[in-house]
Amino acid sequence: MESTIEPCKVRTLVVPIGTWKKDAYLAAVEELDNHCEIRLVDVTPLPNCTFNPQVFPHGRVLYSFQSREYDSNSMMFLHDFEPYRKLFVVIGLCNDGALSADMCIKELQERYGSAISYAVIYNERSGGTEEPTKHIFSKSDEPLETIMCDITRNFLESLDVYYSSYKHVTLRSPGAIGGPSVLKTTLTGKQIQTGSLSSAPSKRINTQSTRIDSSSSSLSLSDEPVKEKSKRYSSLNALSGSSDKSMQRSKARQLKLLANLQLLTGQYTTSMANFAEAARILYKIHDYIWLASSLEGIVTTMILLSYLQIPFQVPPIIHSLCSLSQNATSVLSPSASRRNSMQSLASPRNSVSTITAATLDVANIDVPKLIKTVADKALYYYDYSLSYSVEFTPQVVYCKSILRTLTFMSLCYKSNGFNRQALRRMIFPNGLLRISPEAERISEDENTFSKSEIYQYSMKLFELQLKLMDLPSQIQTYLSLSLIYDNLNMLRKKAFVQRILFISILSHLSKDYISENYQDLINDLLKTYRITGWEPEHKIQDASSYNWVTLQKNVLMLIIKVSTHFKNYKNVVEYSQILLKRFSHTLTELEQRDLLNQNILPYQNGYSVEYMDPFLVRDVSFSRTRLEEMPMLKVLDKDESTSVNDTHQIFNPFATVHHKTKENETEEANYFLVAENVQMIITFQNPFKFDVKINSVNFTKQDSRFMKVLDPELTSFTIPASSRRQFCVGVTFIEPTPSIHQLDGLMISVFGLSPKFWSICKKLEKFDVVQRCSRRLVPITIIDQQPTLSFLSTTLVDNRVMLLDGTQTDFKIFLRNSSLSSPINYCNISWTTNIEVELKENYWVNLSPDDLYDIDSQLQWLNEKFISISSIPDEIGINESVQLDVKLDVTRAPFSLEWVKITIQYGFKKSDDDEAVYVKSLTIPLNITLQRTLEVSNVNFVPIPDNFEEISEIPWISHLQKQKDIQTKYILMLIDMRNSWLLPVSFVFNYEDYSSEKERLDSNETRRFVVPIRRIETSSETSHYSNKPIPRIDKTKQYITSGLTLSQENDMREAFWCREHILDCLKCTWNVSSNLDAKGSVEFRQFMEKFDKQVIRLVYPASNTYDIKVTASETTVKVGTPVRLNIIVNTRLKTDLVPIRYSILDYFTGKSVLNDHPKSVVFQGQTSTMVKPRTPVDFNILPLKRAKFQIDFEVPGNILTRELITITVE
Amino acid sequence: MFYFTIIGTDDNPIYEAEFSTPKHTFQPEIKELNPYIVHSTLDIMEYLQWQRQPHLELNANSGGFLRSRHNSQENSYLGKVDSFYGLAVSGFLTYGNMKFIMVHGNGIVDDTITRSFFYEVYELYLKTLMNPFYKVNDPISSPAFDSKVRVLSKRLFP
Repeated sequence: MESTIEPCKVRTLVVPIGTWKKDAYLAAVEELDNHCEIRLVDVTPLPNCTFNPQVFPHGRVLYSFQSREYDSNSMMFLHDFEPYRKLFVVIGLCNDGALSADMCIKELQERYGSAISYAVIYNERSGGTEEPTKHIFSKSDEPLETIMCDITRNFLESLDVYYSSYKHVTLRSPGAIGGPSVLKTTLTGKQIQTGSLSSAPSKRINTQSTRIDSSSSSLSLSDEPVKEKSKRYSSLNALSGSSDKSMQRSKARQLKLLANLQLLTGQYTTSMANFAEAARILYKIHDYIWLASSLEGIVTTMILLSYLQIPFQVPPIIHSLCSLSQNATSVLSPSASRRNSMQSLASPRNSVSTITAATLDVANIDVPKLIKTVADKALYYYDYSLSYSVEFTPQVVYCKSILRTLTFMSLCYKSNGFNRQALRRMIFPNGLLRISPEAERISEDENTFSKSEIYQYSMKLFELQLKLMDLPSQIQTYLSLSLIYDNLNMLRKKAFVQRILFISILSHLSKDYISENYQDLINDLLKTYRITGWEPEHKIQDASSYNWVTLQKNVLMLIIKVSTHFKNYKNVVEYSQILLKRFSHTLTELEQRDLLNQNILPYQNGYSVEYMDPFLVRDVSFSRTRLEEMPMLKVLDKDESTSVNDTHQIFNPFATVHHKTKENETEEANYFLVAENVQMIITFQNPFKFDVKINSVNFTKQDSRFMKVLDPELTSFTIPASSRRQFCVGVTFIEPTPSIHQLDGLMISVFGLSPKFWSICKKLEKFDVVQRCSRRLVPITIIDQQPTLSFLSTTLVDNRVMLLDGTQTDFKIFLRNSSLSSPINYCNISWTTNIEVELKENYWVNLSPDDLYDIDSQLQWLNEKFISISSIPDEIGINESVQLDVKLDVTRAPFSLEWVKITIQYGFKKSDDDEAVYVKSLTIPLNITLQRTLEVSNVNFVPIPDNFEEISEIPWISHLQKQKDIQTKYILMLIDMRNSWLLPVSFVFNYEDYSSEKERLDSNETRRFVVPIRRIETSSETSHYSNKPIPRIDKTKQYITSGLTLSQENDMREAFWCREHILDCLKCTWNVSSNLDAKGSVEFRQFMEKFDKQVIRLVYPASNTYDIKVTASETTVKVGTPVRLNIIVNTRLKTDLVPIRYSILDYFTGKSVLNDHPKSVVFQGQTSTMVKPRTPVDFNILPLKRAKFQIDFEVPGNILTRELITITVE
Repeated sequence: MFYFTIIGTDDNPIYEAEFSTPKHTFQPEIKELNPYIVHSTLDIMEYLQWQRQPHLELNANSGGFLRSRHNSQENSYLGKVDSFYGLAVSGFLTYGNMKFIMVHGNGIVDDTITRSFFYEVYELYLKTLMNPFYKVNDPISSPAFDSKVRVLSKRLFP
């Protein structure tokens, strides 16, 4: 890369001697590079030498160490004109102390004959057999700095010899040496007529100067002298043979050469003077190309003197050429005004002034502007020389001149002015600088050169046909330009130039000239075009962002080509994979195939290659090949009901639905048995436009503990291009899993690459989520082989049984554990009848509480009492048979019972502490025919009409006669019994302490039976029936409201509890007369209707709101005898008066006798009266004729309160 | 022949179009180069958008890439901002920081025509932006927008 101070750098080639490893060698070169600046004061004086360091002890010799010889031969034509382009020193770094030093030096001299000084630096020398020479050094003997000083001394000596060889040589221009092979500067879009002095060049220069004007603010180049000069030159051209002019030219060129060499040897002041003198003469004789080069030399010396902080004076030739004398104030005012130290524009040492203008001291001028002006002037003369056939500027010189100026400007910009930092950057382009953060912040206003000005200047390069230059020059040009753009922080421009650089490299066949750091360039390109760090396969933000994919794709393609060019296959593989992984949608089928087959697959053995699609596996599922009952996991919860029940206080109408869903989930879980073979269905995707070959599919090491692929050789598939396919892999299970095992991915080998883990990507997310894809975990549970229980037989015929209603029967079931590996030690028997199955799920929704109690109690009975099984064994051994003794009880079974299914859940519990067990089910169906026997066709309740004072044999009468107050405390229940069975049936009623005689009914006979029942007494109850809620059997069913009013609900409760009371007390056991074993009982519940109010009043007197009690003084009187009736009204209501209505009826006709003529009864005249509750009231009547009267008392509107009394009149 | 792009705030192209005739069309290598030229011009555009007026006036002159900056009437249109060999690049910066960049294959930027082209495309872009289903920085895929831009280019750059 072209440094700003390139002319003062001593080109030094560093070569390895011995057996170096790359890293060690590069470290050694870097160590050397740290000593690239040698102060002349440290170098041993050379009194007789032209370049005696003592002459200017402030000076420096600056080395430019190169580890590769680029252009020493191709640039030989420049060695006279720009001597610094020559290779001066060759340093061999030797790490093998045994190698002969002389041999090494000789070898270096042979190989690099063009150099003038050689040195070998040993890391450590072994043995001192050879005489030490001045070219041999050892790091172990002396520090590297001292070695470099000695090398510098040798170099200065050699340079003296080299220079002396030039003393009598006529120095020729590059065009004269190189002839037609030298590339002349070609400016695009400009007509250059070689050798002619037509007006065209001046016009061109005119435009050029205008352009420069635009960028360099106030500095103007005078056109007039040029025109004048060109005229003069045309005349001088004819006199080119003149010896005076030739001598002057020769002298000037010699001076310039000497100045150049002095620049290399650190004698900057003399160098500047010589350059100035040379320029003065060259200007005079119109040798423009050498003049321009001299001006550039002055620029370099000015920078170096500024670096050494040595004051200097601007040579007078600069004054005259750049017209500083006339407009020095205007040129320099911007900086002058800023500098407080500037007292005046005039030089304090006026006496130094030699030519026309006053010499300016460096303290009074804006050095960077001056440097830029001189550099512009040099470029101007280079430009001007292009019209000549021999004395023209080669493109490489022209180009590098621009680059040096650009580098200077950009470094000034980067360092925020022409300061120490900028100077250090110019002198040591590779050196590490400690840069203060303040200096990094660039403020445009404070800068010497604006960004736009520098950029504008850089555009000059694109007026040249750069591609015509040789490759090393092109590389150096583009690298320098990219650094300049980097200094300007124009990273996109930098990337653009780097891309052009790569294109240039690719367009040349040669594989040399590799920049050592071209990986850095690649990294820069990747970063600028946002390829680095853009990972749409991992980051959702990247996947949803838009990028310039065309650019990115092309850049990657270019990088791959460059890497292929340099045979860096690691990069080829890496970037080809990136291209396929992230930009496959922009690639054609051919491109994709080429990338895969030419750039990736051939290198899979040597480099890290992996399949590009991270979402290869989209789904995994399992499928059974055989339909076989799988055991289910059953949780053995002792308090099962509470765990299943919804513990929420609030009724959840969806609770059942919720529970059901959970069951379904359990069914979907993947349960497998050890040694079971199933098919694993894998869904693959192939987003590419080529077929993808899957070589093998297997489980991860963790998964392999539990399962394995049945036949690994059969796991090779081909996924067609741009498709999604399902493939089956046979899988067997090895070992039971301790709990649910999650299968999260598979080990898959694609394209013969080593197997890699691929997770299962169920769904690719696109927006607003954290993860790029939702990973799927396939739950797998593997359990041991389970026992199998098989049904052998029952003692029933064809599993059918016919039962008489209300009876019980026994039978046996024979079972066998047919498993040969596992016993059964868990057995749970349950059953289901058609009654439960036929009920709707929500059968309870519209039922009233009492109906529901009936149904639920029946279901509960079916569930608990219907079947009882004794002799359930604790364990059924391997291949062991057992019998179950089953008792079937149909005493309360409904007539609609048709079948029952006995389900035996069985399993093997490893230990008693197991909380869950895998169970299988065995279901045994039984068909039941229920035959009706004794039925109740009707039930009625009547009050006891008589006191039954006569002695009777009838059991219920005799029973009653033993009781007291039978009329008030007892009622009669009339039951119509029917025998529906084929045989006569004998039976007995029981009600509390009453027991009937054995009755007998023939087949199909119906008869009414009387059972005396005691009325329900309030005092015996802890609370009133109306306050006692109807119980709920199934607590899971909650009621928000029954939909009844309070009084309706109270009535319902009374009816319910009365009926329950009767049902509890009433029993009837029967047996078939001919067969005493055939016995049973009658379940009255299914025959007895709900009680109406009439019945309730009879059965449960406390239900009445009003209770009227009437007693008569006499019930049998003679005609004309008054009868006094005593009435007491009890009521639960808190009221003062209760209305009573009465009517007197003829007992036999039921007709009212109140309006009879003649009157049969005399009464007080009113048929109603008001009475106080709980206060006896007398009521008198006088019967007037013989009759039997029935006197009814009632509370109006409350018919159930009616109380009657009969009076017989004789 | 012209290559026109609208670049989003994240250096992403939201619209690209090439206006050429059978006679005047970009060579294949230039066609490939155009996006790179536009991308590199973004550096200049970003530099220009932060320049203050006094400084601009200092730099304002004919021929430079700051040529239109002296006009205080409008500052969206930046005129010729860059060049590369025979190609010229003009730019337009919206107030929403979208960059309209055009590569002129003939190397000449006719300010009058180019300015009116940019402003008319800007109108179209604003209408697109008002679409509630369009998000800033998304590629403009509307065929209506494309056809209108092409009709405009045919009218202004015959």
